[in-house]
Amino acid sequence: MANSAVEATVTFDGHKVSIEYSEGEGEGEGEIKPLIEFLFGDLPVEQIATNEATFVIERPTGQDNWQLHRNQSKLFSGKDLNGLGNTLGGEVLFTLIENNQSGMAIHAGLVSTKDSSILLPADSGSGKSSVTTWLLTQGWYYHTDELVIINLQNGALKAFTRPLNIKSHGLAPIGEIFDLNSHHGELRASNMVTMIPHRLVNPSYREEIPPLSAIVFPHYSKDSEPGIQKISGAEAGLELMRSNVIARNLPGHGFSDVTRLVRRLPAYRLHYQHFDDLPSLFKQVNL
Amino acid sequence: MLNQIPHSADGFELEEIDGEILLYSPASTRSVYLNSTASLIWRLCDGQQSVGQIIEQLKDAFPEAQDSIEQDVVHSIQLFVDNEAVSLTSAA
Repeated sequence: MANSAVEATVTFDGHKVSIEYSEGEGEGEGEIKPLIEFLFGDLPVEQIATNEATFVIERPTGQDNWQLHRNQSKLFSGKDLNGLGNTLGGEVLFTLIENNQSGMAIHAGLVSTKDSSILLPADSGSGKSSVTTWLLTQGWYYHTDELVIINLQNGALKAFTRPLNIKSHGLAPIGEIFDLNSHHGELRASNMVTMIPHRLVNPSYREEIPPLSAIVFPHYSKDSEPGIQKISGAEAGLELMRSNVIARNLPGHGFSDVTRLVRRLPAYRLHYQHFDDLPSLFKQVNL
Repeated sequence: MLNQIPHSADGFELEEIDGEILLYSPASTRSVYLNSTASLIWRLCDGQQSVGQIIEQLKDAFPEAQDSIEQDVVHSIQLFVDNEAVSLTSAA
């Protein structure tokens, strides 16, 4: 079979990117479509005319390196397909939100119960994905471990639902609450990150996101005393502004929107060392 | 610092929430959190009074906290200066 070009589209909150790849004979055949489905399969399909960017995935004949380009820029070159997937996931997300003006894009996890949601904003490496994973093991519904758009007009939430991304240093603790070995074939691991399909952790999934009821700022540290403290609206606003990733697109950088949010929601700062700390801490604040 | 006059900087947006203040500078994308004590001190940085006069004013208002007021004021104003939310000028 001759190589044939295929185009996939990924949409999120009114924005679209395309991914072009070849599916042909030889090693690597048929590997990109499942990867794209793995990364973006939970994102609702939207009908959008304007394309923000086109990503091209190639594996030149005679080479064993995958390559990822956007326009003329090489974003990835290497043998590791999962490493390509990790890069593609990040680049596609950034491209889909970089021109978003409909809402605050908060770097955060988001989980929900039957009728309310918790926002988990944090910097990379703060244990955001890990605590999100733990919450799934407790029966919370998953929406994202990475990015939430809060609509400026009506407060509606949109989550960039993707596989859980667990960094290398967080993998051993995750192994205590999720059987990594028995799901080994369903994970995608690269040097930096292991991507875990969220349905393996909690098979229940729903697209609808109920309204926010609280904000929790997680901080994992092996040195800090475990605890959860209610913080003031101004402190929460400070933390949330730090997680407001495309503030430049918003009127006043979204400052008044952030403060409006923290005026109406309780906010907590969570420090934890082990997952064993979390049940009593969440119980303390009735979450 | 005691003889210098603190002026709150232009260009910061301010939101007061439950007696505390959150400042944001769109130009520098810097956010500054002021607890209730720092919020009070911030409001006194009006370009009219020196740091020493602010300390005396607060000592009069809160005699029970006299011991900590000077340290609180100096620390808070240094925080404002470090975040470019206040500039200090010499008294004339």
